[in-house]
Amino acid sequence: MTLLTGAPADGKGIGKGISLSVAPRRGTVSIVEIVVLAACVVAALAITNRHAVDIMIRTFLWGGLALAWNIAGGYAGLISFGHAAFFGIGAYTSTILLLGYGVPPWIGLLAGALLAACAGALLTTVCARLRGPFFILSTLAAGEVTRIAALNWRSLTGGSEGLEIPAIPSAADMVFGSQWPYLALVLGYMLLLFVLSVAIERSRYGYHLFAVRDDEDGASAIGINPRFTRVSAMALSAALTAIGGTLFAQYFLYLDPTHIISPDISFEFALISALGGLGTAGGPVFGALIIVPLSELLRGLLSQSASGLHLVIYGTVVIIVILYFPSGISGALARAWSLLARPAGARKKAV
Amino acid sequence: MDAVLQLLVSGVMLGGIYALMSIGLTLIFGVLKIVNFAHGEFLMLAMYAACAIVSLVGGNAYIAALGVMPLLFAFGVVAYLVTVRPAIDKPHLIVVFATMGLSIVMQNLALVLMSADLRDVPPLVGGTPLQIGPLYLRLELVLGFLISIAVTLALMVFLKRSYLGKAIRATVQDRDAAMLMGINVPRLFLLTFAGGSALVGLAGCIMLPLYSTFPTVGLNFVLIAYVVVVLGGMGSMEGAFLGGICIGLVQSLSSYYVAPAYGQMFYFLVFLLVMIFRPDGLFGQRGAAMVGINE
Amino acid sequence: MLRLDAVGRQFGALWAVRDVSFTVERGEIVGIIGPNGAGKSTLFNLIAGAITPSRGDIRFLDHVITRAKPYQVARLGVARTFQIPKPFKQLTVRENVMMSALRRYRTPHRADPVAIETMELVGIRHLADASAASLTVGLLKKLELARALATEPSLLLLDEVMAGLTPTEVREMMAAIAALPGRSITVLWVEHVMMAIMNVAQRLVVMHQGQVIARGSPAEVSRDPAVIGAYLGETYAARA
Repeated sequence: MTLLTGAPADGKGIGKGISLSVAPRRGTVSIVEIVVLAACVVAALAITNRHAVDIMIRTFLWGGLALAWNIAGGYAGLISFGHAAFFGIGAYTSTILLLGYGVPPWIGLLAGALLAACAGALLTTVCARLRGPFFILSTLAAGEVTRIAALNWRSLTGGSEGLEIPAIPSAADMVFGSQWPYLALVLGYMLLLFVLSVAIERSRYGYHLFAVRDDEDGASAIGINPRFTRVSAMALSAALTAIGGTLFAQYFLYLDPTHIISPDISFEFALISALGGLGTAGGPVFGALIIVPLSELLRGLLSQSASGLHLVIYGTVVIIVILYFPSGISGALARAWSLLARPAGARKKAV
Repeated sequence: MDAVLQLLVSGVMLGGIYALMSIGLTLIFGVLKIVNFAHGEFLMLAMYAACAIVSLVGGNAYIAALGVMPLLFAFGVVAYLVTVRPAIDKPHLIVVFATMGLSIVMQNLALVLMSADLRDVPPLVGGTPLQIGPLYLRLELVLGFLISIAVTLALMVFLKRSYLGKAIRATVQDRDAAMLMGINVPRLFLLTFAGGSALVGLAGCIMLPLYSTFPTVGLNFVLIAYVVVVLGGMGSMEGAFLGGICIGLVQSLSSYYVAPAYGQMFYFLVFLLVMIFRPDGLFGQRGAAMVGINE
Repeated sequence: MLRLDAVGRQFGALWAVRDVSFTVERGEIVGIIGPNGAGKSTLFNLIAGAITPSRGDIRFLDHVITRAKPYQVARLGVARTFQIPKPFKQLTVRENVMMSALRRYRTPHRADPVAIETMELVGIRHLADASAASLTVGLLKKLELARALATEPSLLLLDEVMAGLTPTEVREMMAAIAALPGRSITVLWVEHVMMAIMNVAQRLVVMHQGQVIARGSPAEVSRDPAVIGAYLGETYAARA
C-alpha cells in the first residue's frame, strides 16, 4: 500500500496493489471514499428508524444504479438517457419469471441482466455511428419505445396495472419481512459496484474505455477496437442496472411501466453521476448520498406548502452545480485537496 | 375512402403545427449544436402566456402572439445567458444537464404558480369544425397550418436573402469557418437562441386553441419536436416542415390503424430508423450526426 | 514490407489518388512529398485504414490491409501519428503513452515502465504527470510520436509531424526520426517541411494531382523537371 497525496507523484498510481490517495482520484481508492463508505455501513448497522432505513435503502440502491450508469456514461462517454429501460428489463424479467414460473429472483436477476446486456449491445451497435446529442436522443427514444411497449404488452407485463409480488416473506423468493436483509442487499450492491468501478479504472479495459471516450480516432490508431469497447461497456452497464432493477422490484413489490421505465428515472441515474463526479468511482456514491436524502427531505418539508417547490429548488441546484462544478463533488474535493496540499503553484492535473 | 382522406389531411395539418413547433428548435440545434432539454417548457410558457393575455386583455390566441413572441424572445435571452452560454465550449453533457435543470425548474414553477389544472382558451367559432368538401376540419387546425406554411416560407426567404440568414447558414455548416469570415458567432448564438424561442412562442399561440396547457405539457411535445428536427435535418427549414408533415401523418395514421397508445411509439421508431439509416435527416448536412459536436 | 498496387480513391468524380504503386522496404525511411492537393493525406489515410481505396491493393508484410479498419492495421504493427494531434485529453501524458504500451504489455503495471522509457526517448519524461490537455503544439507532437512508438510498431506512418514546430523542435524531431531504423522501425512519412524530409528520408515518392510523378533519392528528385514543374510551374521546369 502506498499513500499518495492529492498531487500526482511518480508511478505509484499505476501499479500493483491497492493505491490509496487522500482525495478522489481516478484509479485510486481515496480516504474520503473509504470514510464515506464506512459511514454508510455504520449507518446501516446503527439506524433503526423505519423511515430512515427506507431512505437508506433507496439511497444505496440509487448509488449502485448510478455506478452502473457511470460505466457507460462516465467511463466510456456513452451518455444514455434511456437506462430506465435496462432497469425495467431487469425488474420485469425477474418478476415475470417469479410470478409466472416460480423462478427465484436470485436466478431471475441473472436472466434480467443477460437480457438487458443484449438490449444494450443492440442499442449501441445500431447507434454505432452516432455521436453527441444524436446518441443521447437515440437512447431517450429507445427508452420511450421500451416504456410504451411494456405499457401495451398487457399479457406479458400487466400493462398499466402493473405487476405485484405477493408480500409473503421467503428468502428463496427474495421477499423479506423486515428491512434489514434489503438494506444489506442494496448496500452490498453498491459496495460491489464501487469495487468493480475502481477495478475497471485500473485495468486495461478501463483505459480502453477512457481512450474511446476521449478520442476515438486516437484509440483506433493504437489498436483499440472502438466498437467492441463501446458495445461491451453499454452491455456491462445495462446488465448491472438490470440487477438493480430486480432488487427494486423485490423491495417495492410493485412495478408499472410509467414509473419504472420513465425518462425521469433515466435522468436521475445520469444526474446523480454527473453531480457526484462523472468518470470516477466515488462520484455516483457521493451523488446518491446527497441527492436522494436531500430530495426526500425537501419533499417532506415543502410539499405541504407548495407542491413542486422542492423540485424547483432541486432544478436550480442542478443548474448551479453542473455549470460551476462540472467535475461534480469528486472534482471539487480533489481540487480543494490539491489547493490545501500545495498552496503555491499547483500544477494542472488530469481529472 | 373519405376516412383515409380525412386522416391524411388532418395528419398533414397536424404535421404543419408540429413543424412550427420544431422550427425554432432546428435553428437552435443547427446553429448552437446543443440539445435544449427545456424546449418543451418554452412551449409551455408560451401557452400559459397566451392564456394569460387572452384572459386579461381579451382577443384570441393568435393576436396574443404579438405579446407572446417578444416575451419568449426576452426569456430566451435570459435563459441563454444563464444556462447555455456558461456551458458553450464545455463538453455537451453540461449543456444537456443545465437545460434539464432548467426544464425541471420551469415545470415545477408552473406547477407551483399555476397549479396542475388544465387551462385553455375558448375556441374561435364556437368549436364546430369547418366543412370543406367531404372533410371536417377544425378552424384552428387549418389556421395553424396556414400560419406554419407562411412562417416556414418567410424563414426560408430570410435565410437565403438576408445577411443574418446567411450568417446562420454558415454557422450551421462550419462554426469555425464562420468565425473566420467575420461572423460574430457568440452574438449569433444569442440571437438564434432568442429568435428560436420567439418562434416557439408563436407555436404555443397556435397550439393553445387545440391543446390545453398544463405544467408538463412540454414533455408531450419536446420529443416530437426532436424527432421532427432529426428527421428533417438540423438547421433546415424545409426539412423541419416536411419532417413535421411526416410525423403528423405517421401519428394520424397509426393512431387510427394501430392503436392510439401505440401512436406515440411509432414516431420514436421513426426516429430510431432515421438515426440508423440517415442520421443527417432528409435535408441535413451529410456527416453532421457522425461528427456530433464541434470538438 | 509495405506494398501498394495501383491504389486509387475516388470522391464523387474526382480521383484524389490515382494508380499509386510503390513499396517500402524494411529499415527504410521513405518520404511522400508533393504540392498541396497532391493527395498525400488521402494516400496516408488509405494506408492507415481510415478510408478504403476504390481500387487497388495494399499489403503489409503478408497481410492484405486494403479494407482493414484502423485498429486492425494498428494491431498488425503499423503505428501512425495525426497531423492535428489527438491526445486523450482527460488523461495524463504518461497514461496517454501507457495506453499504447498496453497493446503489447497487457497490464498497466507492465505497460507503465515501457511508457516511461518511451517518454524518455522522445524527451517528454518530465511532463509525465501533466494533463495532456495542457500541452503546447510542439509537445503534443512529441506525445503523438511517443504514443505511436509505445506500440512497438514495425512500421511508423508519420503525418506532417513537423507542422507547427519551432526550428529547434524540428531538429529534435529530425534526429528522433533518423534514429528509428536503428530501433527496427521502418518509416513512411508525409511531409511539407522540405528541409526536414529532404535531409532525413532516404528515398522519396513525389505526388502530384493524385499520381506518383517521380521517385528516387532526395537529390535525384530535387533535380527532376517534373517535380520542379509540379511545385513551381512550367517555366521553372523548362529551366531545369
